Amino acid sequence: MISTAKAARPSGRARRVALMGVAALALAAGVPSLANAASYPRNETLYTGGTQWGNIAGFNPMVGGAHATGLIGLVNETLFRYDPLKDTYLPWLAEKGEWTADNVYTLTIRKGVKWSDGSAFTAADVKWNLDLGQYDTIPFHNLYTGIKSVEASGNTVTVTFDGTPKYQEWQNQIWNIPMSKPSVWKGHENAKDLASWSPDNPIGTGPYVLDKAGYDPTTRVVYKKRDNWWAVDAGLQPSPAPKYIIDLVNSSNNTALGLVLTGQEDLNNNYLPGVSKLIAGGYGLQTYYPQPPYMLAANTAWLVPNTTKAPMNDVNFRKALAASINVDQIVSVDYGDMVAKANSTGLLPIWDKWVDKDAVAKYGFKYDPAAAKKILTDAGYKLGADGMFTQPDGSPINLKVAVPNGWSDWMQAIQMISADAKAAGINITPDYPDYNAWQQARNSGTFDLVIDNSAQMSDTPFTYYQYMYTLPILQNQTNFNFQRFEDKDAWDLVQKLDSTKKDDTAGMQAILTQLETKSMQDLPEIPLWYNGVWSQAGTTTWTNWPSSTTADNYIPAMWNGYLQMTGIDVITHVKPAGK
Amino acid sequence: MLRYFSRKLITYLLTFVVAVTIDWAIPRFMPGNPVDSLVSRIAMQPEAAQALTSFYMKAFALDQPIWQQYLNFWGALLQGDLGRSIMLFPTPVTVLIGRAIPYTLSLLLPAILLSYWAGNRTGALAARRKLLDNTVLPIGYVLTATPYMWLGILLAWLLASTLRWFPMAFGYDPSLQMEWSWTFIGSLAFHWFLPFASLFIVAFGGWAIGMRNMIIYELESDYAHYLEALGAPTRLVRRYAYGNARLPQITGLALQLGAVVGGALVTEIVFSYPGLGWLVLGAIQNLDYFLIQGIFLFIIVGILLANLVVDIVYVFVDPRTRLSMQGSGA
Repeated sequence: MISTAKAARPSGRARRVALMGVAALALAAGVPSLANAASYPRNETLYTGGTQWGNIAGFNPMVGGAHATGLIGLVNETLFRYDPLKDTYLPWLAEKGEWTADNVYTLTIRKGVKWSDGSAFTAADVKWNLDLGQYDTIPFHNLYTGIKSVEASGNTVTVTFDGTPKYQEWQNQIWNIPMSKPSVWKGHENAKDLASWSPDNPIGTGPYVLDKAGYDPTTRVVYKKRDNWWAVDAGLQPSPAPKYIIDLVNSSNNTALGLVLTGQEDLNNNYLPGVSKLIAGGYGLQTYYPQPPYMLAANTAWLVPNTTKAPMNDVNFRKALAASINVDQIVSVDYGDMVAKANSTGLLPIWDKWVDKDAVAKYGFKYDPAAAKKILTDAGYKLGADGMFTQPDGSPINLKVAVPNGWSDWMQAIQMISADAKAAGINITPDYPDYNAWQQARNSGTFDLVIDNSAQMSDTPFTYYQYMYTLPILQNQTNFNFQRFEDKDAWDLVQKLDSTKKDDTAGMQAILTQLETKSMQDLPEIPLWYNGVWSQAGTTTWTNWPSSTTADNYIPAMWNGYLQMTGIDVITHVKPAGK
Repeated sequence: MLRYFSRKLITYLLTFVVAVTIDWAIPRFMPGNPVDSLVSRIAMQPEAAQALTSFYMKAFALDQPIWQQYLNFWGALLQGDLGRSIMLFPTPVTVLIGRAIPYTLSLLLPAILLSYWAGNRTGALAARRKLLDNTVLPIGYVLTATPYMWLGILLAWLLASTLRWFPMAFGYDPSLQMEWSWTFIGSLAFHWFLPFASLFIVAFGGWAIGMRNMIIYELESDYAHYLEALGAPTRLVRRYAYGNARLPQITGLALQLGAVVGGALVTEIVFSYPGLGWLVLGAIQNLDYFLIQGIFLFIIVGILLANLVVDIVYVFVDPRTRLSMQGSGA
């Protein structure tokens, strides 16, 4: 009896084995479709990173800065491109563009360009895209309000302006406005959707198309090379070697650094401290310059004083402050020579030809703490027993300079700035609020001093001075003139510059000399150094990265707005490392 | 029984209303304006910036008085609408949470259940066994005092960055295509392991110590001595001790849930693991009111539900609860 009972009940172990067998069978039967891995072949895939933080918003190219990295440039192209290092416009979807009258711009649209759905790219498509400017949520809406008509016929598009066009802005926009296939937007052509809707299936004229199966908004966007890209047929570009481009979402600089060092990311555009040491460290990393400053200059970092508050409203105080800061020390100690010191105008190296050297020699500022003290003393500031100046009316100076918490290079910089200022008798303390608090203080004008770098490189110094002098001052400044500096004459000059043709070099120079002189005399903001086009390229899978030492002088960045400069040339010129 | 549960339910409902109100209010007390960030990022002419600002303020109903916003919030919530994300406008918050939930749950559930099971077993074994106790006790104390995030960073540094045994970021290998292949599932598991391990290890330490102490206490109690005096086998005595010792542990489980969820949030950030914690970091950085409140709402509901489950389980594992209910005539 006992033995049969035992036999009828399998032992614990036997039962467990049987269960596992059944489970395995069920798994095998239930999911027969489980095939072997399909991965993007490493030697055909270019991994990029450093632009996208957080979830990817989608594929609406009309919302600047809020779409997947690479959408403009890889998928949606522009009429022209711009090479900042050579200062030339590169005809792209448009073969030609010229002012046929003072207020008429005529575009010749390139023949043989095809959308990724196979249909022809036409002058009517260009007109449709330009006419989107009528909606007030489109970034170039303001410019569009000065346009009387846009007409398409044959392969030309004629843009007629009301009165004198804003030449500089127009010239800037025609290499920045993305061309979308109109049919994609059917039913969504309204102000609301243009600012918020994201097409599932973006159609462009570019060398890549979205690989929908690989898209994961939390992790990556995948682009797949398309056949028959027009620029190859036209002999303008070599066919890009990477079959896939995968842009990875960033979550931290540590992770990014890890991915770069292990060769999992080919082109990284994060600011990574100490890269100068890593280049020499045998990690197969490359930067644009093999020696300092390693990176091309992307924008100017300024010390922005709130000119509505005392003593920042006093030009003498601003001049003394500028003379008190040892920027060379910030460049070498904080940045390890990864950036270069800005000149007194703050104009980027690409605009060097516009800098009036005589004016800089005459009005420029330099590090000189003794001179800083003298300026303050002469202006009636009193040096107290504690070695700190008080304002002419006797009230103490106790200022804060703020940068967002976590921006380590800037945090270090304002520590050095505060120390320098204190050495010259100006009491400034560093402050690290959270990014949103910092931004709100900057935009609403409640700050004393902040570091900011909002004006990016472009085809014209107009954008730089537009940033500096735009009027009127609103309750909330979202993009320009955070220092809230009111100078009607300077703003008139900026607008006059806007209405000067790009080929009127002498006219532009005359205005720019005045603006440069004004900005150095008044110092509405204090230029410190040039933030770089942070770019670390790995050479384990792809080589032939842009470099100052070769003929490939392109800008190695996937940042928004950079692919339509020479970023796309980087993609078309990389070569497999052949390992 | 009914009275017991109805009283519990009312408590939970009140907690829910208060917690959700705090959840709604906190992001709005943070300095800054979410629409500002959005518009600043788009970088455009002042006129267009103003148009876009007012468009977004209207779209998010942030131009309405604050009490109206609060009422709107409850109105929408009761219809299951958590609003739309600001930083990823116009993606609905529910979609974003839906994407992140599988990652977070796949960390949390195994970490909580396995650490509870393994920790209690190990603690019970260690009690009154000199050699084991001498190792489990100090290790347990160190582990349970370790912040989740710190252990995560340590594991990432040692096993991912230095030894390169495990990946240091993402939910799966980004070179793979997303499909139900063994390789892809393997990659998911491979990337899951370190964040899971850092949660598991810390929680494990806590349970082990708790159980070890409880068992020692129980073994010293009168009923245990009485059983021993009767000559009952050690195994039996220990089983009774275990049954009694796990009651406070179950209460502890309910209390621990919040800490583990918080730990999971920071652990995900360490490993760039695309779950709720990683999502909430971006939401806070962008002052995304709706996403922040959506995620925390989810966490609140999750913790309340888990507590409810623990309450129910308690009725079954502790006969005294049932007896007291019968006694009160419910």
